[in-house]
Amino acid sequence: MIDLSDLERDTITELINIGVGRAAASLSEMVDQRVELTVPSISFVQRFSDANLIAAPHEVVSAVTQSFNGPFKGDALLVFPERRSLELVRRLLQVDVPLDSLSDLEQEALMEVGNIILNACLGSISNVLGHPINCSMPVFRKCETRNLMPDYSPVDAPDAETTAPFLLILHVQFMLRENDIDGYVLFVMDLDSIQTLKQMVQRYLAHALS
Amino acid sequence: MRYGNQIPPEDGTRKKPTRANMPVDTGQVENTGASNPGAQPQPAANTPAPASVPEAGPDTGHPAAIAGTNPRSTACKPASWGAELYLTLLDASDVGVITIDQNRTIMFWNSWMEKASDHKANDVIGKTLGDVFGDAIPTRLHNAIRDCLSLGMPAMISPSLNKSVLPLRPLPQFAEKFPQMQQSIRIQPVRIAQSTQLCSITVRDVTLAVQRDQLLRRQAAELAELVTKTRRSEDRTRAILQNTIDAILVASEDGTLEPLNARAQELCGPQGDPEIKNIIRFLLPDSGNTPPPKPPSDRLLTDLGTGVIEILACPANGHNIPLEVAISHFTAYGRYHYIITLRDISQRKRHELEIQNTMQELENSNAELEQFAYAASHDLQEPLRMVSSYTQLLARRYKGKLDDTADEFIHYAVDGTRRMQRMIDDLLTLSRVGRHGKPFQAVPLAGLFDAIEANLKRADAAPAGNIMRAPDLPMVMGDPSQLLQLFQNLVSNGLKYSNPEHAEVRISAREFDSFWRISVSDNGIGIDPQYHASIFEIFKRLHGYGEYAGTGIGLALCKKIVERHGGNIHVESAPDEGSTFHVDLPKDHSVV
Repeated sequence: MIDLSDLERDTITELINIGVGRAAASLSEMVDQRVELTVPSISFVQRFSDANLIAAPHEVVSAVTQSFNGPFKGDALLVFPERRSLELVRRLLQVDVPLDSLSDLEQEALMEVGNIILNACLGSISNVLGHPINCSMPVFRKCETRNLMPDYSPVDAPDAETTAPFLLILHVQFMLRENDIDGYVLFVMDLDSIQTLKQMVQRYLAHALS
Repeated sequence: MRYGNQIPPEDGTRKKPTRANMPVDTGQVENTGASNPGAQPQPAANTPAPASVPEAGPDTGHPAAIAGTNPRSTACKPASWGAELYLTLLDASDVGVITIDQNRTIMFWNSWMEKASDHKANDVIGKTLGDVFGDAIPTRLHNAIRDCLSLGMPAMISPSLNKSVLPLRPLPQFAEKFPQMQQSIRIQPVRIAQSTQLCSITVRDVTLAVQRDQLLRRQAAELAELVTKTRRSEDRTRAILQNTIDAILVASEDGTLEPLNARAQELCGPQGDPEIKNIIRFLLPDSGNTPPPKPPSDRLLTDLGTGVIEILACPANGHNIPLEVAISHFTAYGRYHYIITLRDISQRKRHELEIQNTMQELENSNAELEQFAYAASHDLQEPLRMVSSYTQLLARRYKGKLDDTADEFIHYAVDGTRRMQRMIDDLLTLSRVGRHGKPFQAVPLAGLFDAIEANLKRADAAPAGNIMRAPDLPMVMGDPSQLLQLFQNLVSNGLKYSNPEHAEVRISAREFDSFWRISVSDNGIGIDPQYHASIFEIFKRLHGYGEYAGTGIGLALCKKIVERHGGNIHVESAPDEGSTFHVDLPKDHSVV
């Protein structure tokens, strides 16, 4: 397991919150209604199967993914159960469509929401840490939770402990017109990257405290 | 193709005008510090671009480089054909392509953008988007470009979340509904070798998709509404069906019976009548090739072919239930179906029985009463005749031999017996109406009234000419002697209760749908409305015996005769304004 001091963990939380706050402001302006975004919890896990998210492995989720590259690299995902994603998009667009899957345009809107939030999180880390992060364009996926990360977590591989990616999981909550919509932001990184992140946080802290 | 700066061909040769505007031709051009966000890490300055990367032009993104430049790439030499090809392709692309440099100024603006925006590349290159479009550019786009240039963040701008981004003209076919082209925009960082970060903007026209999406939404909403409505109406129909007291079944052509509601399921279920389906199949007009056997006769309560079908259900769990069966049909999907409705008529049957019993009792008691009246009046005659004979004998023998008082007493006794005699006669007549009626036949009323007039004349009760008849009196069905009695009573009553000097009785007839109304009017003393009903009661007299003669049985007799004929009698009258008696006689006596 990755061990972070309370201070390091707080720093990351703080960075994330700054980013998420910016994303909320940006969304509010775009949709012309109050959008609040909070991160009630943040956790590190080493196995995807350890995450609360996998509690319902057959639940269909909508995911917006951006890969990032730089001093630390990996994938960033914004994940909603499909129903919640429908609800979110339709609340944002302020339309009530009796369709139970996302239309193309709604899917694109969800991608933009994901783009804004993921960019904001990555951007605020990058900005504060003074390192640019190269990101890919967002990609939309709809799948069952258990298939969310097929590329990782080789089951029972002997070296699973070292090759399995680390997950930084943010529980994000949208507050829209007095309704909460819960989703997750996942940062999937390998051990090197998480170590780099830790070092960067330490350096930042050292700089900030000196 | 609208590139602000010519990309240097590999051999470094450039077209003169372009080249003339190039501030330097080797090494990296530093971004002008003032306009360059500090966050951007500097590219590796002064590192010569690898030869293999032709785009590593040092001048890339320098706004000064483009001023007054003719961007036409025809300037490219044949050797730079590769770069020219890319530029041409980019220019001819079916999406809008814009490139922004670190100073936020436009470096590239393809033909698609020229058309859609009405701004020529020459006019926009070197300017910012804000310069070109003014305040129309939303913050979202500004921020996305900023993050792209400074942090290398890509962005996408969707048409749904951003109502308008670049003020571009829609294609003519959308112009009416969409004042602005609906756009899907991608913003991507590009970096040419070691050069500074550039921002590539790709604009796609998605107006058609937006229009379709709107249509889809509308239709989905309409469909959902329709579904809701249909479901509601279905629920309602089902509720009505389920809660109907009658059992309803549907039978298809092959004779399959399907209970439609709870009551039908009950009747056909395990607790119901195991025979009921067979009985129903038997009743259906055509029940397949093998008609079911005729059910036992105690199960069919009515004869077939009478139009009313009543059957007896014998459920396993209770009392037998008489059911009325109604069969209707409908055609659905080209197939014939019967709807069978079974109505529990236990209640009605019970009432019918009660009525039957009451009727029987009534008939019995009526017969007894008539018998009694007949017997009484008949048997009373015998002693009365005795009294009458001897009082008359007394009158004859001793008149004038006793004193005056005795003569007077004898006279009263004789008169009393005479009156009693008449009453008993009338009572006998009355009791005979029911018992001694003759079969009905067609009776011409004109002839009937001829006879009445003759009778009255003979009795000297009617002066000539005071009975007036309408010319066309009809034929009616009835017992001629009773009808004679009826109308003679009414006519003579009319004459009796009128001033003999100018008494007039008028007889008329009027046809109604199902009956004839024969009216007998007089100009006599009339009857107070309070007595209009009671005058038809037996022995009812409104006047003293001295004023008008009669036993008080006449109208009771009339009423009885009319009732025997299935008709009605009523009076219209007011004191001193004469009376009109209306007798309604039905035309059709089948029910009597």
